[in-house]
Amino acid sequence: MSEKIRKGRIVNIQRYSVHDGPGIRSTVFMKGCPLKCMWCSNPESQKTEEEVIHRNSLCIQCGSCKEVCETDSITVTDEGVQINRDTCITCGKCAEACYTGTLSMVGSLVTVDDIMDVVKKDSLFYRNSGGGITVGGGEPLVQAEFVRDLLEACHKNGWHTVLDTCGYGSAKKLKMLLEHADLVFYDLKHMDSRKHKKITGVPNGKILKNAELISSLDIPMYVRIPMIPGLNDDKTNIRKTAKFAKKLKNVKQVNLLPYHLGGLGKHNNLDREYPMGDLKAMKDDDVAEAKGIFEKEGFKVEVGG
Amino acid sequence: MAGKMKYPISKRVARLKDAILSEPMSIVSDRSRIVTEYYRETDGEPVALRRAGAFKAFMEKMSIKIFDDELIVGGLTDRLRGCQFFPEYASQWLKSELETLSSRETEQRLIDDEDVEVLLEDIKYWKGRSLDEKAIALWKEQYGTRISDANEARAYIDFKGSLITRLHADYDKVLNKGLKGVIKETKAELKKLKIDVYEDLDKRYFLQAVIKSCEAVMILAKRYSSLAKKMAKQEKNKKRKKELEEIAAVCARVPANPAENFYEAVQSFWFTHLGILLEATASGVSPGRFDQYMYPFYQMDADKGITDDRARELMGCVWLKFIQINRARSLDLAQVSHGTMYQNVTVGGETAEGKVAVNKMSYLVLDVTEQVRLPQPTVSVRYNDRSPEDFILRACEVVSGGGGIPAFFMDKYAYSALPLFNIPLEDVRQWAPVGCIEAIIPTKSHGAFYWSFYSLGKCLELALHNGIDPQTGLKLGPKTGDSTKFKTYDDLFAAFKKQVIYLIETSKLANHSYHPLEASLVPVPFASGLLDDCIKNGKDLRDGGAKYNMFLSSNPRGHITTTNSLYALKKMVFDDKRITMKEMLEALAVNFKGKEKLRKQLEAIPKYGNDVDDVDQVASDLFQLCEKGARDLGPGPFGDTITTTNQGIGLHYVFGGALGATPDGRMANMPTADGSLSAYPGSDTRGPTALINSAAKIAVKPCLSSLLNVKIHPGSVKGLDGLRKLMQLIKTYSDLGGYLIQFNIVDTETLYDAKEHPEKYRDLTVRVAGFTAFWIDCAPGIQDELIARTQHEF
Repeated sequence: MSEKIRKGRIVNIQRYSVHDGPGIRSTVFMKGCPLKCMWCSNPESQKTEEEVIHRNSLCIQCGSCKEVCETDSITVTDEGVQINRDTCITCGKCAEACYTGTLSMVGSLVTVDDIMDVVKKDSLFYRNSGGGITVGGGEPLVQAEFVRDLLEACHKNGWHTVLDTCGYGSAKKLKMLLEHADLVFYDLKHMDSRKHKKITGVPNGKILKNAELISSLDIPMYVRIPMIPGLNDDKTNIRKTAKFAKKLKNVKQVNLLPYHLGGLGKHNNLDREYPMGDLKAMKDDDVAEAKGIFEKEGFKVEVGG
Repeated sequence: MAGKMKYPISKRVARLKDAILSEPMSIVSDRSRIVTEYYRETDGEPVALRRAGAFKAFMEKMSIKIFDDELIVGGLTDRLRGCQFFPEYASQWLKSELETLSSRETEQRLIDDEDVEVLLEDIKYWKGRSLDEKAIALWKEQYGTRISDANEARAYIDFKGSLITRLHADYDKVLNKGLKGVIKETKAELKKLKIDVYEDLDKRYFLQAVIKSCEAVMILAKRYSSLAKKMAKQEKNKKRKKELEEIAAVCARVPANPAENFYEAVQSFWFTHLGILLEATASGVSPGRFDQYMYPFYQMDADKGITDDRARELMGCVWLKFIQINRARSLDLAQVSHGTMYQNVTVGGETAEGKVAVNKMSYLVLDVTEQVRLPQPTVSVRYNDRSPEDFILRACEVVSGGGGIPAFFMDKYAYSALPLFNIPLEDVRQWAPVGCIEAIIPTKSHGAFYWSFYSLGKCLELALHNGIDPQTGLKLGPKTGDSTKFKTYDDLFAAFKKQVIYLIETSKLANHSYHPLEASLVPVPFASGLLDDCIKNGKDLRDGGAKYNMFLSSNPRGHITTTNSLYALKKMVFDDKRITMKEMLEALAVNFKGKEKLRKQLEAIPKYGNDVDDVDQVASDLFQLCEKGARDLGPGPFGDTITTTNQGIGLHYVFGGALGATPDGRMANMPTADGSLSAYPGSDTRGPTALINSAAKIAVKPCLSSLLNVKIHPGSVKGLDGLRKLMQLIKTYSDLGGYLIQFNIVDTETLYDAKEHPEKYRDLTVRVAGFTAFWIDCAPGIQDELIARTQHEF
């Protein structure tokens, strides 16, 4: 056994995912993302390294975590735990000491086999429902070699695979993943590169090019657009997005994802400020106009999902 | 709270529903008075004839009423939601509970002063004569305090003579031959009897009683016919006048004669069902395969142009009749039942010949269920892979509207379990769940389902305390040793096993004593005449007359809480040695007061329902222990194999209430997990596929029931795609060998709101265990537990 077994860092595996592709699925959330979308609802998947999160609703202020912290990075208040992220060395001792489930480590290092051991348990559900595995994140492209192995293993089991990607990565890596992707979920966050950079941290050039690459390979794609009030939901951007999507030959469906507050609590769990402030969540009806624009272009549109 | 409906509810049915739900439930003295009078005058009459005589007197004299809008007539009383008192079964409790009847936590009942007077007088006669008192006296004589102690500590529960009879009567026979046909058949058997054979005398009394009780029900129908005729004469509204005339004509013909159209068939069905419920204070009397026996009559009329709306309206009227059925039960029984009557209607599956049984009536049943959306009747879908997909999807659509109905039962499981009881294939194909959920053969089985509920949680407490119940100090089990001296988990399990077997025996001694008592005190000739082969055998069903006597009579409860507790002990005390048994016992004794840290640690130990093999194995061992333990104690009173049933009713609440803190971190007196395969509320965190996998791993066979409740968020079943995913969950559970899966599809916010504003949710229904109940009928403890059950959506 000279060959080193490749490992990947994941946030978690979500069984019974019913909104991440056809049928009943399991979704593997990879850790690490090159984007920093302001509304990110999975901020614990942004950093590539392991980190500590806290769910303060479970905290009983017992102080067990503080006792074991070697860098004195923990404060316990009436609201629960706060961690000084500058001094925290993510040793994990606090999570180990916490018995209420408040503190936990996110980002364990696993092998493809480790993941398969879990997702295999639901194989009959996949078979009966035409479901399978979705790999998302985070951004799968960040750990492309590992994700390729994972997708390949899924195909060996005969499961349908979905690659959920923001598209920001090298074309070479993307191609590698596409070999074992039956369907791609592809995010288009803004058509104006400068604005894209402002709200996600990166320009959109690579993303748009990669979309064209997937189209040229004729792999079915769902375009997903997070609808963020005031950031990207203006008519001009929506029209431009629709036009771009129209140029692609492989778009089977457009999903409009109305802004929700899913990220708010999780930012708190990581002691990060929530960039969206107190912006209110949207209702499905709020994206009716955008829906109309896409439908006019002939797309099948779903709100949510 | 009206959910969406594919076909709008008829205005008539909606009005009737509203009228019924606005009416408080009450107890009347009608039956008690008439039956007690009859008994006072008939000392010495053979019991079968005495029962039939009392029944006939009741049918002749009971007050009856036809309500506005009704098309189908006949009720337990002359009120929309009245119930009768059955003093022969249990009587004395009424006196002590009279004051609290209208204000208790569940099944509140009003009672008028004049009725109170009559009832209090009646129960004087019944003192020492009621079934429950006779049983208690018998136990005392034979076993000292063994049974009463177990009952007091809620290790076992005595149902105070409130019969739970699981059967599906032969409605088909009445629809096609009429009660006159049943009488004819009975007379032919009478002719065969010899007058010089001892047993034939009992048979003669029984068969005569069958005839008399059939006549009694025919009399009741005739009385409704006359009443309708009289009302028609006085009715000013022309439309209603015509309706009343039609009611008069229908009731003049059925159930005495064969039904000749759909209307007559529905009314004939109802009189038959009502007759059984008026004869005895049974619950669990199930219509069974309604779509199969009603379909020919629907077809008959469909050819003549009956519209589906009309068919649904007539069925809606009878669906609202089911909800009017209720009982006067003592508080401890009410806490178990939460208002339900376990009237189970089954649709789908296969025919006796192995054809797909889904027909137009199966769809109509689903339509009406969706329109009326009430806890009774409970509707069960028999699932198999040959079921038309649109039918299963329609059933998914109905259940996605909330209320937990229909439930999904798997043919695959039933087809492999029932043959273990030597039931031939053509009968197996006819199977249907009865009462809550037990698989039996309609029209041929008496699902003898007795007072043998025992608490597995209590068995664990006894194993931890050397046979002494720590809550009451009573000695309820054998001495199995000082648990602080146990060296291994196996030592603990061995002690636990002894306690389980001893308690199974206690409950068996108790419940089996009821069989001869029932046969000799309260036989049921009317119901028996409608169950194969009672007439042929000349025997009441309580006397073993049925073709199949299926002794669903060992009933463990608290499987999952006990599983989680055993596993927690295994991990914490024996494997990882994080604490000693002594420390554990101390923490349990003080209900974790000041030991919150330990409690959290215990809660964090893996629980059943998360697809964790080690825990699921403990559950599986437990199921097998209970099943084998009961079987090894020998056959039932009629020589039949005893089967263990693993279902629900509200016992997780009652047994949980008498149980101290448990090693899984559950606090004292909280309900245990519901049903038998449902996870402990809030503890299944890996979603329904993990829960289903856990459930499917448990070796339930040869038991004829198990129950898995899954709470799902409405968002997960939205649209056709969502319904398909629900169907795929059902199919996969069937493939994996599961028996029953049911869903509570209502969001937690709604339940919170309902707890706060019950008045807004008069018609909100929820799946509690093997049954559905009105939210407002659930005791506060059950409401909290329903809110806590994990909701699956991702």
